[in-house]
Amino acid sequence: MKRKMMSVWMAMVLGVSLAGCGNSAGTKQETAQIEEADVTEEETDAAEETSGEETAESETAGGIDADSIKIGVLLSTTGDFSISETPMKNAAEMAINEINEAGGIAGVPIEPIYMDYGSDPAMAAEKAEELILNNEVTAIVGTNSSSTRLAVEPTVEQYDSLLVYNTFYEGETPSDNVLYTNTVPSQQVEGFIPYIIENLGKKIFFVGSDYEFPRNTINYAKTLTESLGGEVVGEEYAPSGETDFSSIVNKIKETDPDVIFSAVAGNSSVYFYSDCAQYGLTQQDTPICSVACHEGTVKGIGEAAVGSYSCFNYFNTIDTDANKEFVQKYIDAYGTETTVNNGAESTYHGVYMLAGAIEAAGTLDTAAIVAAAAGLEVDTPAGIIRMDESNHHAWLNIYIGKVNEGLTFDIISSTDELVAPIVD
Amino acid sequence: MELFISQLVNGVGASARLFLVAIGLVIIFGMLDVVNMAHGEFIMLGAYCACICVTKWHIPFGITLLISFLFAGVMGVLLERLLIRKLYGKVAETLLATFALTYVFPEIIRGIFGPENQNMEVPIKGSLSFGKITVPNYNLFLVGMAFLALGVTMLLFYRTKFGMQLRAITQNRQMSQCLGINSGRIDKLTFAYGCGLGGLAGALVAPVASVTPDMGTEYVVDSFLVVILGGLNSVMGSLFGSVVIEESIAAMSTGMSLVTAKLLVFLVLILLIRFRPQGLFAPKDRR
Amino acid sequence: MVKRLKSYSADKYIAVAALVVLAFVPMFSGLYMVKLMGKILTFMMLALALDVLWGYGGLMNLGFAVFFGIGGYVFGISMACQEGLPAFMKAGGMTELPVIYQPLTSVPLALFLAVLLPCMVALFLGCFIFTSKIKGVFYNLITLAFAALFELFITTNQAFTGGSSGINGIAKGLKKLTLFGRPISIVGWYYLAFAALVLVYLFCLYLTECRFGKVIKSIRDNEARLQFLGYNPAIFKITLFCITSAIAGFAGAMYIPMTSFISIENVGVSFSTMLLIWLAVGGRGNLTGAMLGALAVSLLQSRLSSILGNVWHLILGVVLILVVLALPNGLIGTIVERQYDSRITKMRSQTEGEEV
Repeated sequence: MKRKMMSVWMAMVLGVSLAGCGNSAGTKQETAQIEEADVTEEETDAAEETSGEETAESETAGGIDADSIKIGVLLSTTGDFSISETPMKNAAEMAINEINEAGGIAGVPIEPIYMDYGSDPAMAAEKAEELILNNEVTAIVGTNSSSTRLAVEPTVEQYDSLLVYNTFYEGETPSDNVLYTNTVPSQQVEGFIPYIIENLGKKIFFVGSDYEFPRNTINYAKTLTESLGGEVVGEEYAPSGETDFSSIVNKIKETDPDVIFSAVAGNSSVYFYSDCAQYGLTQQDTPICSVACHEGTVKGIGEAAVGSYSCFNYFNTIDTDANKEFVQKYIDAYGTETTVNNGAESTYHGVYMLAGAIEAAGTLDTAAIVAAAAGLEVDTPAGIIRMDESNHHAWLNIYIGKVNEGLTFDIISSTDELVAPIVD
Repeated sequence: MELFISQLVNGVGASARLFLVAIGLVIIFGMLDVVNMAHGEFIMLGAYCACICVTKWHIPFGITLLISFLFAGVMGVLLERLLIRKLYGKVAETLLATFALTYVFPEIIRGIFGPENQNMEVPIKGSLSFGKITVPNYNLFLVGMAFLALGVTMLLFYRTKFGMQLRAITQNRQMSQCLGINSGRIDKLTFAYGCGLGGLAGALVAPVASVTPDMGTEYVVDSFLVVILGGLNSVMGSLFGSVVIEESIAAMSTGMSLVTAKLLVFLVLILLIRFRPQGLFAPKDRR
Repeated sequence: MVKRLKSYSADKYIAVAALVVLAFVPMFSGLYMVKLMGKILTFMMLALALDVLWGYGGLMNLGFAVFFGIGGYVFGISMACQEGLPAFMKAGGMTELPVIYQPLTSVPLALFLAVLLPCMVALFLGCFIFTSKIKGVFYNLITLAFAALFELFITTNQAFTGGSSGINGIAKGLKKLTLFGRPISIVGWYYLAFAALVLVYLFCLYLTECRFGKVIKSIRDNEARLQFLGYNPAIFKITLFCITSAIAGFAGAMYIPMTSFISIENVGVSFSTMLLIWLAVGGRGNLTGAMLGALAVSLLQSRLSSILGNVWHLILGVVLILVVLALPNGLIGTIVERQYDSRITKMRSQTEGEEV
């Protein structure tokens, strides 16, 4: 009897599910969002609006046909990414508020939607989907680590939405749905290595965390070092999140380099710097030149960082009125528990760049915005920058900073003109 | 060869650090059968406490250590009263409740102090050099503290009334209660002591570690490996466990990458457990 | 017939109701919800597997997500390999697909391996643990260490596993997949996962009720007695471990189409512990509890993070603590218990009535 019940029940459930399958499989349509059309009517509208395939053409350029422009901000203020993403979120919020106070984009206010993904890349992808499908955002500003960007990218591409990515990273074949506003390895390295070889010494030891960004950067830096007559005396990688660098420091001491080039990322650099100091590698004799150690990290390292060098597109001590005003506004709004760093600044100018591109495009269509962004000049706290004509990355000023006793950076060198982003 | 020797010397410092981090967990786990997933959070609390004391209030480091120990201990008492007491004897439930705490503690700390690194200078600077081998003075201090923690714990467990009662309870709880031992009080104190040691470890690693709200998770798994290796209720065992783990990693990492060394060491250790299922250094089981 | 229906415990009805509701999700909700629920369906499968292992077999596993992860990674890498060499392998310096990945270019074979490989790993681990004297908390800790090691293994072998960035390029491979000559839409995947969930549920129901299940439950309750009766508990435990791991691997493979992404967050210690939380919330030793626990916690997680912003971790933690304290048997477990109690009282009053 029980068995009979079971089979009846099973047949029922399977029947329902098969009907569902047949229903969706029978439409013969290609993409997922149009496939949805036969499920509910409303869904069709939503999908078309996001994909914008038909609506874009009928729209006239110049006027944005909307009450508000929705922009998703996908940054974590919980979990272990929050250390770098909280300043970015604050900066995005600041930029959006400023734009809205100035009347919005071509008269249309921005409606920001803030999403926290708990520092979990898989969840970030889910949140991106929610932003695109449920909130129907025009663009998403955010994601920080490469893992998060790579998790979100397929979603953004699938629904033909737009991601503005504001972190220095390893460089990739540019996606048509992403605008990158921070540096790629070529920019940091080309600003940094010539200075190192000229002023600090020719024997360079390379240390990095073990993932794409450090590896790509170090590969690029090694080639440039050799072509400029420098010497690569060693190369070591520590797993990301490593907390014990004593053996690497020992290996560095064996080779006796002039300079340590570090692409140790995140919190690991706190351990790396303090191990160097403890095991007798002083910044005076063998300075660390880092492409990943920013203002916030230096605060965490403390005294052991004094005398080391970093290279970014922005430092919060850049001596211009625009930058002083920017930093002051940030501190007024968010206090000093978080530090303005290159990520925050890039997010800030990323939002402005996006606003400029939307205004120039005159529509909310992704392809039009991306096209309008090409060649766009943006006035930022770090000077005027320009988006590349073709590869969606930004031409940036590159600064080199040296950590002083007060644990901030003294700008000791900057490039005369914008440095080109070179990707693949 | 010099590299190899200096690796071994480094390993001593690393072993001391691992032992300090793990001992609180070993005590709580061994004596109370509570899998305290939140142990790392007490390390974090201790580290924050130390950073605030030293950089904001300029309290000397020695006193700071004591404050961190007491602070974490008091937090331990609170936690025991409010949560753990209701869950004794249920391994799964304590594990889940303490895991849930790993969501709660970092967010509270983040809310108060912000997400950024706290900074604290190394209180004992400089290093000793023997040829090419360098030993930071702070590492020597950590080794000293490890032995101090070991000594105090041993004295507490084997030379005091509290220790005698505690050992009686771990052997036979009901019988001890019949004999008039207030087992609730002993549980509370033991839990607090374990948490306090976590706080102490936090204060000790704070100068050389990255102090963030999420730092606790870094320590939990390694600490549990010490427990596996050292045996359940053996404080001495966990000392041996820490030394074996860190020294073999240090020795092997001269020839290969650090992670490969770590992976191999852990794999071999787990395989060895097969033949000493109570832990490699555990005394013969009496329970 | 009616009497028979009435005699079922409440959890069975709840399970049927929940499944019926799930069957209609794609018809009443947007694409986002379908994808989210599709992901949760695979989590529910995973929860069922762990419940059979832990709730019925008494073998708590602190590293169960590893098997989910193996299944997911195998199928994910297979999808990423469909369009030539995946980007993460190129970044790792490879020029052609490594030999061990060659079989993964065939999708059916990859799906098969996604089930077989977790099973083999479980077999190895099971033989290792259950035939020795490793017991109690030590067994738990070894599974925990195993999860930590696996996580470390994935992060370090970047060229093979994508390291901390996870497996990317899955979406392109998925587009090429066809069923009956047509590409599979999200709704299609949803119903595939749903059908799989129903099958897994029925299988687990069968598994726990059949002779094998009875032996397993007896081992959980009194291993020594079973040994005395001439059973070899190790064999039963290993078999159970293998079966549940295979289900977990399958769930992992089904997870891939829902997210087009997998990374270490889905294989490590914290996800493994999250699985235990599902069961604690739903109630373990009860298949419905496992399913609904996974559903409730995952939905809660997703909604809380959208609504509450940056305090959601805190709230989630507090909710979990409250559930552990207030509902030791979990939501469904408590309902079943209530029903059981009320039936007992009813029967008592009936018999008393007859006596009078």
